[in-house]
Amino acid sequence: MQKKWKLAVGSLAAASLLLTGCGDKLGTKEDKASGGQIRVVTTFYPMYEFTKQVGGDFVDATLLVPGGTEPHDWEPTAKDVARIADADLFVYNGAGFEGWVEDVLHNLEGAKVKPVEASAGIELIEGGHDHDEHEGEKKEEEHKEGEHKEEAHGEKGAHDPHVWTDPVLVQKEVENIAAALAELDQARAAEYKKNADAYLAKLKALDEKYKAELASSKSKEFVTAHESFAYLAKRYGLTQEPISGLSPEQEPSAAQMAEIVAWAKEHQVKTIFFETLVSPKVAEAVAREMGAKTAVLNPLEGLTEEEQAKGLDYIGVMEQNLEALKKALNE
Amino acid sequence: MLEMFQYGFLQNAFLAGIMIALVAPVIGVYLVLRRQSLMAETLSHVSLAGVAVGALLGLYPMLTAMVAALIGAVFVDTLRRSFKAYSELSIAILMSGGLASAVVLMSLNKGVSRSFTSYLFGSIIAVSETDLYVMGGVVALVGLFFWFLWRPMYVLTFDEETAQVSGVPVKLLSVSFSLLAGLVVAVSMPIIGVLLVSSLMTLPASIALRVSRGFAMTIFVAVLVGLTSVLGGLSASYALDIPPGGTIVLLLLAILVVTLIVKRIVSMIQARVGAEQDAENGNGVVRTLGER
Repeated sequence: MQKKWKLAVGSLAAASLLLTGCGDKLGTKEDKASGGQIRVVTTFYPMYEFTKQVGGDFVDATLLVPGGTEPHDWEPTAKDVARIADADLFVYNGAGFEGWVEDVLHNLEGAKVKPVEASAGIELIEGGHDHDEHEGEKKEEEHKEGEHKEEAHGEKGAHDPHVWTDPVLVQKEVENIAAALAELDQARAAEYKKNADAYLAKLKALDEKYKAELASSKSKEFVTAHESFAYLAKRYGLTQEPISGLSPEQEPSAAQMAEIVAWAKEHQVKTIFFETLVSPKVAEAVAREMGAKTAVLNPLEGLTEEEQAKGLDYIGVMEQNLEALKKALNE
Repeated sequence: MLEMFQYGFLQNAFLAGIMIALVAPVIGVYLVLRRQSLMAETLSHVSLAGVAVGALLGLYPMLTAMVAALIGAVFVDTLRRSFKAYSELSIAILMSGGLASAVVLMSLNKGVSRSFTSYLFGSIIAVSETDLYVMGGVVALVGLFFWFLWRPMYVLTFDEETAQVSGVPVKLLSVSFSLLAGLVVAVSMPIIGVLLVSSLMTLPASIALRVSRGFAMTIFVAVLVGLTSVLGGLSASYALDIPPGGTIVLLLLAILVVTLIVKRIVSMIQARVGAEQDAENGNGVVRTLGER
């Protein structure tokens, strides 16, 4: 009778050996550094784009969040974390956007990878839009004073991390990335500086274009799918009314929906914006409710395969956004 | 294969996995034998509410999960007594209650923090040293509990009435066991996820009950199956870049299917051989614990 369970245990052992066996082959296929390039792992699209722009051919940049995936709810697999650990540089936006970064970095203490928080040094604004108040300016002032107190209450991550939607603030992100690359690879510091300056000039031109073309718009209010354009709105004197919260996951309650519709009617908003990476059903519901149109305003949290195929990049999408905004605000 | 152990975070994940695999199947065997296999499921939903409270108040989530699971365990036991005829009702009530409070509490948290889905399906990338110490504590507690209370738990599990008559404090023991189950669920949940935590308890138990004779051996086989699935599952999950929780459970199911098939074949052969042997020495059919 002993045989009976020995057989069972034996088959278990065999099964596990088989499985770990397959694992071995696949595991060693890991790509290793090539040609003196700096290996940079980046979290989501703008980080990848900025790193490529500054690093050029000297960096081997990897994008963690795959194209077409909404990064808010994305979490790395164990292999992704191993990729981070093996890289030279790890570029993330920070400000609480990639909620998992803190834990992962804590676990990677002692690894050689150097983390770069691209949003470091940027003054963040308070997020978690409150639908009851719309006097954005006044509220902001109050928040500046109350900030520390609120943080003590553990309101972690209530800062708005979407700094990359502002063509001016991203310049700081590009500078941060360039500084980190130059520090790591001092021999090519001049190259990185040159690339960064060239890209910064393009971003400045983008800012000028936004300033010039939005200055004359008839209305100043626009409705976005989630709270991702606060920095852009602030920069160009517009008012953003988001449908969902800081993350597209945070869908509005029925009462909030009613308020948004009322607000949009009051301000005669004719276009409700939605995003390429999030289901447009909530934006469509709002638009239907008030007989408005829908259009895309891309918060650049990732590019779809279609957008990639068209060869769009950060500046290209930002220009599309400008067109969409101009159209919506001048109706 | 060994190259993956150079990463500290994976070492942590494996340590955590081993600790869970040591205790969860043991609790599972008792749960299955006491007709409470769904209790782990309930407790994991309740501890999710605890995690939500922790995230909201900025407390250590494993701690709040443990508190919630302990409260849940007491409720399971009390409700089980008040709905005596429908004892599974307590499970249904608490499961929906736990999930409902978790969803509402999570929505109150405005910031962008660790996502809901990572708790539903588990995450092995961020096991901290504190987590490991807490788990170690729970493992030690489970060890002590069964070391000292092996006999009374055995009697309680197989015959509650006899236990009562022979002076075992049935109520106290039953509640303490539920509390212990709650602790194990709460520490396993962040790693293998709410939806999968109960499978790591009940699947090894069901496999072990199929192949083992005798109680001690059932426990031993269950732990062995648990360890195999967790270590195999974590390795496969890393190598193939697939989610760990699901991989572990699929591996367990595969083991279960293989066991059932092998057992069927073995018993077919045995029936043939046994018929001849029976004729010789009159030995009856051998029964396993699972066939009781």
